[in-house]
Amino acid sequence: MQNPYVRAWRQRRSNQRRESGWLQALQGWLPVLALGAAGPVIRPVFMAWLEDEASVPMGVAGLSLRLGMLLAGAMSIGTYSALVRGPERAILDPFPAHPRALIRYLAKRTAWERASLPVGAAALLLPILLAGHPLAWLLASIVAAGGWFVGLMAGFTVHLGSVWAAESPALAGILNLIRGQNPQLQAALIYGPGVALGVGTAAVFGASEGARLVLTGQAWGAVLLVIPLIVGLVAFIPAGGLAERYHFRTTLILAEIDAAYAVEERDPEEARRVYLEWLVRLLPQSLHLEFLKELRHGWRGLRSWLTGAWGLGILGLVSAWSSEPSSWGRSLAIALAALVAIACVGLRLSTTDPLWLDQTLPQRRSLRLTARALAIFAWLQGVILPPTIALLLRQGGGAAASFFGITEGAALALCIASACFSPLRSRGWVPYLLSGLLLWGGLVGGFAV
Amino acid sequence: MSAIQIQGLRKEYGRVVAVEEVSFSVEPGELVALIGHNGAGKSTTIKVLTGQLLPTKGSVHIAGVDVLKNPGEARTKLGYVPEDPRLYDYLTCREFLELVASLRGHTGIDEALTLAGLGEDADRLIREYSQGMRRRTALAAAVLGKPPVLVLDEAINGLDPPSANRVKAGLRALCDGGAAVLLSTHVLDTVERLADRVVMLAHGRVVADERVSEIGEEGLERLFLERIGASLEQSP
Repeated sequence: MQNPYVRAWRQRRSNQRRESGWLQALQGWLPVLALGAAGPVIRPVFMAWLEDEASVPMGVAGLSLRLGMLLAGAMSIGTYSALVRGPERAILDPFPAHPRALIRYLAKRTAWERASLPVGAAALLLPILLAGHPLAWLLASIVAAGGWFVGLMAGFTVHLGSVWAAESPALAGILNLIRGQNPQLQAALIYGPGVALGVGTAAVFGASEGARLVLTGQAWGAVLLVIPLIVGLVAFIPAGGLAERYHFRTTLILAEIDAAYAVEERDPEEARRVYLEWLVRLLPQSLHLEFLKELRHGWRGLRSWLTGAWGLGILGLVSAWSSEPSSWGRSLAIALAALVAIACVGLRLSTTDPLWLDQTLPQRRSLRLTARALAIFAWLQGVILPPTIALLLRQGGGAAASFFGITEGAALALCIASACFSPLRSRGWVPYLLSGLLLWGGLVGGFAV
Repeated sequence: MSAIQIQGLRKEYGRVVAVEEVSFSVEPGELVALIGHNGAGKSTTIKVLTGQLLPTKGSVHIAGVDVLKNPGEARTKLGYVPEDPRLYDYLTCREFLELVASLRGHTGIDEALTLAGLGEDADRLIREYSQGMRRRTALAAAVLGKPPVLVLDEAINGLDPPSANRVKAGLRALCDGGAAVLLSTHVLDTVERLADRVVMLAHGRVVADERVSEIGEEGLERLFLERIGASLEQSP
């Protein structure tokens, strides 16, 4: 019997294609083309080792490990979105479930929707092929794809296991210690993607070592390349059984978590307080209302993106924490990519803007867009400040100042682009992403190379 | 065995007690209306009953199945229409019902479409539907396979009069066939015309559990004002 979830998904895709056309479906592959075209910019920053033949095996191992980890992380977050917090939970929850079939469907759907990631990674690695190292390119692509696969397959087991962990009396003490300001039940779910990333990293490390061994003439290293495949398949085995036990339990845990946050926000002091609200005092009176609205809209609707800016900032800090001059360019490339990623919150905010309010109240579009651009600019500082501090401490004021100047300029341009394209709603993504990619390519090509 | 059995239900959100000592049952073939002021605890009660929310205390059974211990089995016995139903926008109503029929292991799509009055629009994408049609789609999915228990959270509110009448007649027919229906609503007229019994909640507690036939004409509004109005006046 055909999996009913898969059948309905195929019908949805077919209906959507009929309605929106193929162009819409192909839009998701635009970044792959962009990554393929970014080779000349990427090569001097991330693949300088191509200049030295002897360094290629080590370079391939290092780059493919990082790329594989990135893909494993992306897939673990993707599986979390599909399984735990995705919109389908609310659609399917009133009905009886076939949990094993549901997990197989979610795995297929997540793989399909994120199929562009390993292809994009292979495109990003094209400079290796173009430098005359086809085997190195193939191996690096396989390692990266391994990260994608293990992140996908381990993600389901880890996230369902997180639901067990959330309620486990044995883990209650640990979760209470690491939960921060979050409800205890949330702690296990927060760290789920990290655990999946850990599993993915271990598997990808083995595979990247395999790639290095093959490139140094030790053919047996090819065996290590299948580690992510085996780890992924083994990790997926318990997912069906866990789904049987915890699929509906997840709904209850999520409701408890949401209720705990809601109670917290019933506190009048807490309800008024949002991230960066103090900045209102620095702005003209005419912007106060709109700016506060944007800050609240963003903090309550896209909190993970705003805190994620600091996460990416820490990534930049780690990259910049070196006295090697090349780390400046590398951290600039990373910070600019993070700025493009985070600044898109303007477009995401627009999807939940109440249209009826615009139609009912007098238009204050210029004020709103200014406030939105300013809020995005403030949120982007989380990406910029940590690597700037690292550069200041490790490479001195000159390196830090130039990094700060370039990234602040880019942040300003991106927040204006994001705010200006936000009224276009979903149609704003293409011009925003194109502007972001052009800006990234131009600045990395101009300064980091 | 009652079709719905709620016993000593209590739900706390932090220091806020949403429902306290709520107990009532619905028998097979009975249509019970759950009414109360805004924030009375109707939605909390229904969410616990349908396995969307953990109770702090108490037990909830659907057709003899403990909703918390056996959530999957409980859903096979339950048709639930949430206040704001979520649906797949890019499926037609018929395709959505085919999915639900596969999950329930039942057929009867045409019958469900007829009850919801969606027969002519069944092959249109759900994204083209009005709010009322979306609600009727959720209703058709809930009645598919004739589960022994139906729970409707404000599901009739907002329907146009012909649709509402068709749905009410359909619900009555399902009750006559032995199904138990719990209907949360604000519309007292619907309660008077449709329900066998009314359970009133105020400030999280059951303040009345009466047969509609015993309340009498215009008695429901009076009872509502007496019990719920008094409770509201006493509240801080």
